[in-house]
Amino acid sequence: MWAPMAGLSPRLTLAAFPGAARLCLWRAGAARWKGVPARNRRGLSDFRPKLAPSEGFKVLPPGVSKSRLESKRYILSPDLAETMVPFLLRNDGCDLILEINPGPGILTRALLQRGARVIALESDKTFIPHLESLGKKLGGKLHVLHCDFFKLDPRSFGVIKPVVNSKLLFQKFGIETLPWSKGIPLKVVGIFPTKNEKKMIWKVLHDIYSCTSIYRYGRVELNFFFNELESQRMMANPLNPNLYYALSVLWQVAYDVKLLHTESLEQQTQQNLCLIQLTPHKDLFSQHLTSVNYDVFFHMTKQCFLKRHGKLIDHLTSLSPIDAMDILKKIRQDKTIKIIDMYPSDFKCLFETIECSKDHTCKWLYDDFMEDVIV
Amino acid sequence: MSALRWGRGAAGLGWALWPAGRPGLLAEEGTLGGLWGCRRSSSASPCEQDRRRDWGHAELLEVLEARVRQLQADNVSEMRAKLLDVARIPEADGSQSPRKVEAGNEGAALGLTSRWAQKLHKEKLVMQKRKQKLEENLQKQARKHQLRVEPQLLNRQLAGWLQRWERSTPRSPWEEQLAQLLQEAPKRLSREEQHDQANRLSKMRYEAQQQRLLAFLECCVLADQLPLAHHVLVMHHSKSRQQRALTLPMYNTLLLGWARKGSFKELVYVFFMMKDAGLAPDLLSYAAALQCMGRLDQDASTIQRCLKQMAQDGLQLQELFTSLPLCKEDKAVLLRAVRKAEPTFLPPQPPLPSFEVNTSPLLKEIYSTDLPASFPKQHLPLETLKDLFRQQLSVEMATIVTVDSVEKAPSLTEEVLQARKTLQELRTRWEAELCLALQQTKAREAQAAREGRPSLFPYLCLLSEGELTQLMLQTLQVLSQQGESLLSLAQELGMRIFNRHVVQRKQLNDEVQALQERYFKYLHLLASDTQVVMSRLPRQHWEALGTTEASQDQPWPLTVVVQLGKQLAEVLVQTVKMPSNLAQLQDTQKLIPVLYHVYSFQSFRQIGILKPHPAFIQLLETAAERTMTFESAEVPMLCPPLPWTSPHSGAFLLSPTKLMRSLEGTIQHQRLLEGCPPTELHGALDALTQLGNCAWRVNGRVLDLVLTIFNAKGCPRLGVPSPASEAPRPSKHRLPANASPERKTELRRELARCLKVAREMHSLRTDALYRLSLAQHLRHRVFWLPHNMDFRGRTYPCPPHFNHLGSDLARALLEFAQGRPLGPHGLNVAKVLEGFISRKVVKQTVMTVVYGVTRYGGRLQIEKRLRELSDFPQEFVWQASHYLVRQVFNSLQEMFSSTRAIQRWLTESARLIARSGLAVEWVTPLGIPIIQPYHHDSKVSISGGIQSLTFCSSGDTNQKPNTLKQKNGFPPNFIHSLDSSHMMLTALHCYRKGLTFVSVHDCFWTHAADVAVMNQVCREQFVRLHSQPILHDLSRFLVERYCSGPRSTNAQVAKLQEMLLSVPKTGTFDLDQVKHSTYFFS
Repeated sequence: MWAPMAGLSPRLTLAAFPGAARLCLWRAGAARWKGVPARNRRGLSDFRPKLAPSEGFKVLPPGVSKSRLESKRYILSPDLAETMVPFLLRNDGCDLILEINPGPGILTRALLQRGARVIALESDKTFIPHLESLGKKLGGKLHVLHCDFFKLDPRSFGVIKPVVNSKLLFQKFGIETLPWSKGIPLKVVGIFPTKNEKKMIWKVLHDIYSCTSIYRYGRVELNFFFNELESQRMMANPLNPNLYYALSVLWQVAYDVKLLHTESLEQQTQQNLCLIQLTPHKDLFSQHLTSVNYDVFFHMTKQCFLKRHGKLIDHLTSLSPIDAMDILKKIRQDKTIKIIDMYPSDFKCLFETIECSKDHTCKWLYDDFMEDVIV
Repeated sequence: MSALRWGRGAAGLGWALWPAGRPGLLAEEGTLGGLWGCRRSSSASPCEQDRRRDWGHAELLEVLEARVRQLQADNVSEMRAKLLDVARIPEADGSQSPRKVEAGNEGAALGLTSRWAQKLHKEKLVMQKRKQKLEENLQKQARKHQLRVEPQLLNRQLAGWLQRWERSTPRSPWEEQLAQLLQEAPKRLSREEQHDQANRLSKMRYEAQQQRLLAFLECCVLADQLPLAHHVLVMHHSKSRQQRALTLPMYNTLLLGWARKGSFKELVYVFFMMKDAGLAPDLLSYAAALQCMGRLDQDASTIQRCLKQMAQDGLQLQELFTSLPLCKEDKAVLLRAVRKAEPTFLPPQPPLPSFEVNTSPLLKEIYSTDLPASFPKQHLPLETLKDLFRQQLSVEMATIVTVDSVEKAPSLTEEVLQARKTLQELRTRWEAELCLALQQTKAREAQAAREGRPSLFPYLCLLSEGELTQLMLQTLQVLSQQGESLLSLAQELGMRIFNRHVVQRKQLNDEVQALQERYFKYLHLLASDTQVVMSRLPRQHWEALGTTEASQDQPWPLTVVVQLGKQLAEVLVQTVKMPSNLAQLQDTQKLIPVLYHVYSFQSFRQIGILKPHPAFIQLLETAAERTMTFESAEVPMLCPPLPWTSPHSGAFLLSPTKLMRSLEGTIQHQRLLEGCPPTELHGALDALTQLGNCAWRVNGRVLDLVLTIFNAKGCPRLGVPSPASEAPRPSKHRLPANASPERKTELRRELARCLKVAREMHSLRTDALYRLSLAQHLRHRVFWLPHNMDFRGRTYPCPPHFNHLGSDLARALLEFAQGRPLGPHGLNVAKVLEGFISRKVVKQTVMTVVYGVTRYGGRLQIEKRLRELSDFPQEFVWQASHYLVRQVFNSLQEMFSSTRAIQRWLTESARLIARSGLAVEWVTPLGIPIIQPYHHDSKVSISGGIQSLTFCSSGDTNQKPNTLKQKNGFPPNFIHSLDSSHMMLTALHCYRKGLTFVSVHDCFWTHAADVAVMNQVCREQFVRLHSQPILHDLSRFLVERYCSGPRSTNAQVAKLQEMLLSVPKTGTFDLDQVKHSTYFFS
């Protein structure tokens, strides 16, 4: 069960917590505690015995209340944490976990107890002291940092706060770079935000295809809870055409997408969150698809899915000046093939075919100018 | 109606064919008779009748169809063959079809044999009916190809009347009909629309539809497609649902069209329809009727009856000549008709130009006739100016200006010549192909119009196919390498067609001759060697020379403009092809498209882009043709512009120009300007006229210098852009295959950066190229820059490429035609803070705080400035900009506390006004009405064709105002409007003192010798303007505008009123100090 904590008074919250709460939806949580008498607040520390003494909550840092209006979800149940640990620690040579917004630190604790090294990036200041004390108690294998993972390395490349610069950050934790063909340098675990979800998804995809931000360090594995619809879309292919989108193609070309676990959010609404493991493909980059020209691939996919039920041959005329029939012949597809009949790998193959075609000075009609991607 | 007639015919046929009384058929006939009778005798309301008729009809058809279906199986082929025969007979009367008679005979032969024969016979008869029905359908089909003339009326009584008139031979005199029609006219002027607030959206859509239909009909009349317009009107009229959308102006459009042609029958038809629709004729309808009578030379009594009826309807005869937008010829015919009835009638003289004067105290001195005034003259003699007018006229009649490029001519190598030849061949081929494609498109659109679907047909007929082809080829020529969005391309094409059409119409209407005569008289005021009796302002003089004709060219609805442009763009994409290998032009080669329709993804929107094939761009570059084409309204004028006399007349001789520029599709400014009393606008009209009357010439020495630099790869430091070939190149183009992804990303970023820089340089270079080429084109000439204003009253020169707005380079190229060159302005950089912090860093922020810049925007501004400082340590930019913006805001808060109070008052008032559902309006001290065009986006989509286009317009007054924009925009816009008032006042006063004066917003120029005078005038006017109770005037205006009438009871309005009345105190700033201040204008 996912317990909404927001509207409840601390006493009611307490009552709700000992139940089957495994994850919690936290709306403007910290801000609302401001007006609650200190005595009640102490009750909270009862519930979370490892939480730091309530002094940490007494004076809320200014500015918190404004930006905390969006709801946040946290893992609350030790059971769920126990379920997740084996997915993350599977003796594959990488026990470095980057946990995003751990909140009360239930999963953090479970991970640390299994001997993992954890870096916790928490965007809500209120949890920082608690997390720090947790780290101290469990033997110093935890680094806590007040930082929003999803604001890391903004794509505008303007002036950024040092705290969201992944280069400085990773340097600080001594994370070493592994070549793309080698193992996994780092595993990221967290709950994907619902606010600006689409924007965040595009950011992740741009990061991996361009090998920037966290992907500078190699094939970083992502383990995120997505909402059910989004995760179904991520895994869709021509077999379930209703969910098949441009994003499905881009996800599956870049990652090995695996559904690990499904957790229901609220029993009433039947809403589920799915834990998805995203392992970058070793052979994502080839001679023809590189971090230099991936944006053309993005554009091609997006344009194709503008009219998903259209024929590929009709799309090709506005993608490339190269003769459409020639291209189809080369990728050995029939001229009646529709976009929704093509698997993600077919799109990659199509792209590489056009990209490597000889005797054409101009292979694509696409142009940087056409996209508002800031490189 | 036709079904009805057929019904009777069939019954008759039955009688004729049937030898003896057979019960079966009788029964059937009875049904028919019954239906007929019922309809004739019914006294039920029309709509009930309709329903009943439809029901009866449906039942009949059902019976017939069921029977026919039984028989059809074995007779299909036979019937098909017959149908084809019938189809060839135009207007064949069903009962006389030879086949039918034959069938009848056959039946008669078999008839008496036996019962089964009877049965068979009966069935055959039914089949015949079915056949007849199908024939009817085919005839209908055939009729579809000819246009309908005769209306189908919904009112039965009226329909009967019309039919009696149609059938009676000889026809009763039509004037009788008309008189009767007019006599019993319904009393409603126009249909009251049912106001349904809940259905705002559908109402808007409905209104847009009406607007489009009216524009269509008007355009049909202009394009000489009157029968088509009539057909479409009849089609709409015949369906009760569609009829409800028809308005009086639509019928009037047709009336006027037929009247001009002197086609009486059709005119009466339209009157029938008008009456049927329940619309009463208005003045324009009468004018049309009278005009038609005039053309047909009717006798006096008929006209007298018409005039009498008109008087009974409470319409004044005089007004026919004063309040209608009729052209001269129409009026002459009208007068002839009226004179016949009343030989002594004298048309009212056009009202003498009123020398009513603006009442604003600020303008008292300008318009006072007591004080002496010495207005400046042009420095040229009359004959020269006349000659210049003729030149400008010929330029505008040609609509385009061809200008030689100043770029260095390429050496004429074999390659260049070959490319030019190829291009020429391609163009010749395209021209023919485009013409053909346009013909096909037109045929398609004409068919659509005939079937009553929305159509662009009349718009496509306004210009010849050749002209349209030229337009399209020009578009292709200037398309940039990265392409252009289909929407803007379509809009531009559409607007160009409109402008061209307006110019052509003016030529056709003989306006040019009248214009020339008037202009020559007007020149006596301006020429250096002539004198006029009265010293007057140019506008006053122009008005004294005749009346201003009402503008007849309503702009087309934006959807029509875009649709038209899109249609042409589509033709272009589909038609223009080139061989896949341009090196060898052979007919056997495969053809590939030149233009591609691609999509660009910008966040959540997709934008369709038309992009040329790179090979085509390459060809254009190689050919390096040295001419460029401009619209005539993009080039400065060769003679003094027409003085502004109204919101839509002034500036260019023929090209339409608006007094207040606005986004296409925003009409509230124009409406407001047209609605306000003419004298209120005098200040703005005269100031703009005066700014446009300044004669310029090119500073030849500067141009030579700039051209030398320009063709020697430019010099960005001096403001002469370099060609894109000078752009920085990426250090290494190819990376080894095993390079790390990170390295590749870096390369990618570098490439993109270089590309971006190259693009920026290219666009700067192109801008400079246009500017310099036009300068070269106008070298050794005197020219004028007509001015208009934006919605806040800020003035701008109309020609976009070559004017005194913009960089130092732009200003240095120009000099007063009579006087000394303008010196470039130096930049004073005063160090305000220590270290790197110069005045420039924070200036923008300080200046924009008054305009409501937020802390966030302020930080970005400062950050940008800091980045521009090359020696500033970049890693500190973020912290430094943060620090500075805090400092700036804190100090400003102290300094401008009263200004901030005023700003808060303006913002709050605007917020409350917008919340009450209205846009903020005000009137500048000079009397210009201003309205903020910020509303919630209204989306209009045009589907079909290569792509659905959706455009958002924030200026749609049907949408609720955008509170955020209204409130944030009010303070800066208000201040801009005050600034512009100050500028206009200065301009007018300088003008009265005989000074030449030009300005760019807050930067004023005059001859060096007159600077002292100008400075004095400028300060005086500043003080006078700000001595006015500006805020109290504003408060009074706003209270009256928003808090009076039925609204005033509302609690929200009461709150607004309270806010509006609490005018903040102005600062304690002593205005007289301004007069002595040294730094007032630096």
